[in-house]
Amino acid sequence: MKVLVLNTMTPFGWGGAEELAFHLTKNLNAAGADAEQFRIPFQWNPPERLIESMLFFRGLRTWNVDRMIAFRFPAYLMPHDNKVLWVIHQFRQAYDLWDAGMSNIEDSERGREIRATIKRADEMAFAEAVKIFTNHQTTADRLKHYNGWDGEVLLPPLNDPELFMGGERENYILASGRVNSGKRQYLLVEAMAHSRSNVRLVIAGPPDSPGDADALRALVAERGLSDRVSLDLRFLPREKLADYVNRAFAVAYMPYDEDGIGYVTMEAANAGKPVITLGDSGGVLDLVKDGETGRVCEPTAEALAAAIDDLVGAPARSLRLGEQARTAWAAREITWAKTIERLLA
Amino acid sequence: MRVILVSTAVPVMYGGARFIVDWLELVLKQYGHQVETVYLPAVDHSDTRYFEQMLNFRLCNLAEFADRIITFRPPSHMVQHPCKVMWFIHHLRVFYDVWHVYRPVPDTAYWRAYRARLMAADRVALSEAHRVFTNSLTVSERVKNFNGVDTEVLYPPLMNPERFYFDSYGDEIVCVCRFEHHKRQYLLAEAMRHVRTPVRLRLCGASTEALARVEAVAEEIPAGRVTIEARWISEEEKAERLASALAIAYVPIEEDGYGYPVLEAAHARKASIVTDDGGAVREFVRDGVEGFVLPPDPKAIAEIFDRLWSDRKLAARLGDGAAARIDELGIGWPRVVERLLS
Amino acid sequence: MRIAWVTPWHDRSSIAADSKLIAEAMAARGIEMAILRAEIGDAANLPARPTDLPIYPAGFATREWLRDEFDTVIYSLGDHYLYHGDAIRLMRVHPGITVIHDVWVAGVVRGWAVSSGAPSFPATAATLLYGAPPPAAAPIEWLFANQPMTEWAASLSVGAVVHSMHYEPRVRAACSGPVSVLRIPAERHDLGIPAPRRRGPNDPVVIATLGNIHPYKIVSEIIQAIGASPRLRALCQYRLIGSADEPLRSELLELAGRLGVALDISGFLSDADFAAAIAETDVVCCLRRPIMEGTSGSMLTALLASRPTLVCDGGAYAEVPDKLVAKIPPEAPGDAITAGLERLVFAPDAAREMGARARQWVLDSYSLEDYVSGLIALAQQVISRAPLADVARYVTTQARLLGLSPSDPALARIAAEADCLFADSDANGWVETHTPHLR
Repeated sequence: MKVLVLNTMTPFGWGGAEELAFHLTKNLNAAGADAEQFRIPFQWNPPERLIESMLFFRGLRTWNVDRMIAFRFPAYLMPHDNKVLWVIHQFRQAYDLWDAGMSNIEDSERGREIRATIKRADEMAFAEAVKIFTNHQTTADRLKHYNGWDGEVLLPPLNDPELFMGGERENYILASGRVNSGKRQYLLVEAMAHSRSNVRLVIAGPPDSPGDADALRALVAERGLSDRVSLDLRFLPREKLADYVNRAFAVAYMPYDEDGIGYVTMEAANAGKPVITLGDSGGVLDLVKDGETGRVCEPTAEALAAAIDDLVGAPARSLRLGEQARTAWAAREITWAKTIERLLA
Repeated sequence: MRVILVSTAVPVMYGGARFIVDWLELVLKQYGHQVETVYLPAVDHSDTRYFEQMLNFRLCNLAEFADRIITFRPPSHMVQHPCKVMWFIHHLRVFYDVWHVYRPVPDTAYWRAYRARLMAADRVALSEAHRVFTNSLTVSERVKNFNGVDTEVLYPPLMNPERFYFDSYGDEIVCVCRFEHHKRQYLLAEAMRHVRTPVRLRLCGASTEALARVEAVAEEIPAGRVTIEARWISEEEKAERLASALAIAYVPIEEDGYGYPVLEAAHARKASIVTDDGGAVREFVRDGVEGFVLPPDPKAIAEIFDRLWSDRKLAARLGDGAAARIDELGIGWPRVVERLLS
Repeated sequence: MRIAWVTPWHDRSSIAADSKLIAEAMAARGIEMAILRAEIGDAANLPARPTDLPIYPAGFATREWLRDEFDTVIYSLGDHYLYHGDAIRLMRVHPGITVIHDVWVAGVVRGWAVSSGAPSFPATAATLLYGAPPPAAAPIEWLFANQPMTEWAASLSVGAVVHSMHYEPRVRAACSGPVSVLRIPAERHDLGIPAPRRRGPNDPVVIATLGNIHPYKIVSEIIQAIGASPRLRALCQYRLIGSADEPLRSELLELAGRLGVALDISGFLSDADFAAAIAETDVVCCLRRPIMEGTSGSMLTALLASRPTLVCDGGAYAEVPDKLVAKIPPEAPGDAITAGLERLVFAPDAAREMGARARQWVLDSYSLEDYVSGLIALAQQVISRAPLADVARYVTTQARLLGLSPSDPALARIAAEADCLFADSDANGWVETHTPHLR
């Protein structure tokens, strides 16, 4: 089957959606399909350009593929008889960000016209699609709320599970993922000050802003923890990240009210590592159960320190929790094989 | 410098016009530039959709994203940027030079008007470019004649040409390219009916429906004299076959480009046999200097096969000539990068 | 060049007579012409005008056939749905050059609405064209002036011919392609009538109004104007050379009798009798209120007969130089008619001179050869623009899919791009093509 994976492009920008589309294409080909990704530049600034952008994507044509899989607005406007949408997000400035007053589209007569056009275009694409998936319940909820369309949740699998196969654990807790105050890495640093074990903490991931990195560095210095806490604050190559995960004793991931399980949780579980999280971390709790697949704590440094000490003090039990996390994750069957099966059904 | 390369392509169809784009991306990155490649879906040329796509691509304005863009296959040259460089590798030929030879549309007033408007629209886009390069004198002349725009020839080099090497002048004439009607491999097979020496012929390339005619001819020729490898051979295999070839033959009709096969052969110090109706291949190959330029006649081709087989010194002299021609024409990435970013 | 001409072709239609004259002249210039009869219903069975050109019923024509077999299509359009039903059908799917004979085409709009089962269509179309449907019970004069629906026909065309300047702006504003003003060939209106007799100022005088009588020819006002002048009443006979339906006929006779005006109504006449009747006239009164035709055949007939003629100073009539006809303002009261007629009746030598010069001017200005040259040039222009018209339609369709209003600024920007790529100096700006939004 010839498949066109159609994604939007912000030239020289690269993020989660790009990773997902890249790995989807790779896995489609590995599964025997004949797939290629086209990345088409999308301009949304100034908002007036959105009209041309919609017409541009709508005007694209292809004649030789059996199926098209499109991710984002306005890529999914391109006409195709056999179009599957995997909506990662809509153009949020026209929807929830508009409602939140955080849109780049002005609340003027023209702005409202543009917004209405986006909504009509979206609904035209939804009506044309042979199937609509979303990456997430939140995306599905928005689709339902704003456009009245149902999207079936199809959680993206780990892009490269083969990298996260686990391994001999070392004596550190890993906090991976984006670094910002919402992800609460600072709480882990504080916990290290309370911890009575000799375990180390590695915080590895890209800071959202230089300020996020600086704050963390200052805290480590202030608490005198520089010998026990390593900061590797940058965008890590996948191999480097996987190496951190595979050698970790456990992985800590403590976002506030996360939408989904989170890639960090998925990577840790895939590698057979217990996950430390907080009671208010939202979707992470779907997979992380206290005492089964990791530890769920109150959001205080003391509670976190106690949980860490508890894990480190019982290495055999920790190992079992990690294995159970792996099993629980595998039971979800969120794999490329299953994903592709559904996308090509 | 931030550069976006823009071309059109048919999804999941590779090869051909994609090399020049993909190779340029690699080379520009080696030179330290930031590069993105954008392939826009190509439409079927032979309907009114083409004008729609020309206008549609016009809606794509990349000004905010990069310092310049380089466009390749039409109608990607419609994409907008204040510093747009075109490496114009061909027109929509059915409406240009091929119009009187092969036309996928009826010769009605509508399509004549369409053709005239197409030329005018191309002229508009060509005129707004910062620079326009072509891949051959042939294309430059067409742009001049049909669109009235002056251009500069920038011959596309090969990626990693050092993978081609010389081993010996064997007894085999080699032709590596996809089996297509307009590539006329059948001329070479037919030539083998007329040869008098033990010269052999090897035809390699992805199979298409054009293969049947070649195979039918080859069947009549004694076993072992014509080898057909009807598949996409690897680059290593290609280099190996060229290294020990006596010479290569490349006999398409009216090509836009001077032909990668000819250039590959030159890097392996091998002469090329081409035809006088081969279009831009004649820009590289001059009769008796880099190879032979022959009428598209199997007997004439057979005669040269025999001559080269009987006279390896001749094969060597022409092979050396071909190798020298690469520098003479200034074919190489440093020049390409310098010109495209100038 | 291969051209299909979709037109009525029966022997009663004057549009058919024009189409035949022009189409045959185009064929004589080497253009391959095919006639597609546009009449529907009973009108389709009326006898055809004889011709050597191939004739087909337009009912069989499809968009694909027209597109593939002809370089362009000409549609003749007048305000008579049964005469033009298949033209309307085809214009909607394969627009071409429309020869708009009448300014007023609301009748065909109504006809189309009825036959396509969309009775609300005229109101919808008026809203789209003029911003609002006509007010309830709007008088006919208001409709003529404000909503003649000419633009509807123009919006279904990629090129248009108008026959006088006065409705050209309406057509140009609504047509996506070039518009030519061509004066319709007058030669078929030249009935070989001898020049009017010489007469003294007190000789009896025949004043005539030509053609079948309808209310817009304001015959009753003319009768009153004659009646208001004792001198005219004494000297003149007023003849209606054509038929008048009841009850109009009786009303007119009654009015004339009451006012002491000698009135004669000829009834329907053969061509020969029509010419013979005009030969007996001295002055022609060619007034219209409102003016709804592109060009007046009766005026051309009168002028070619060298008759001094009284016209309203509006529409195509205004284009005749002042020295060649007597003009009264379009809305002038009855005494202006009286004054105009008195001028022609009581200064017979000047009137006779005026008529003679008018004939020559018509022969020079309404020439078949000029018309044919103009139409061929227009056809060439339309053919050359056809690919552009297709692109325009594509953009309109795309915009409609996204629910953009035709006035969305993005469409103006795209139109400017299209202009830059595809338009050339001979063509109307593409921007003007707010295109066939009524199709």
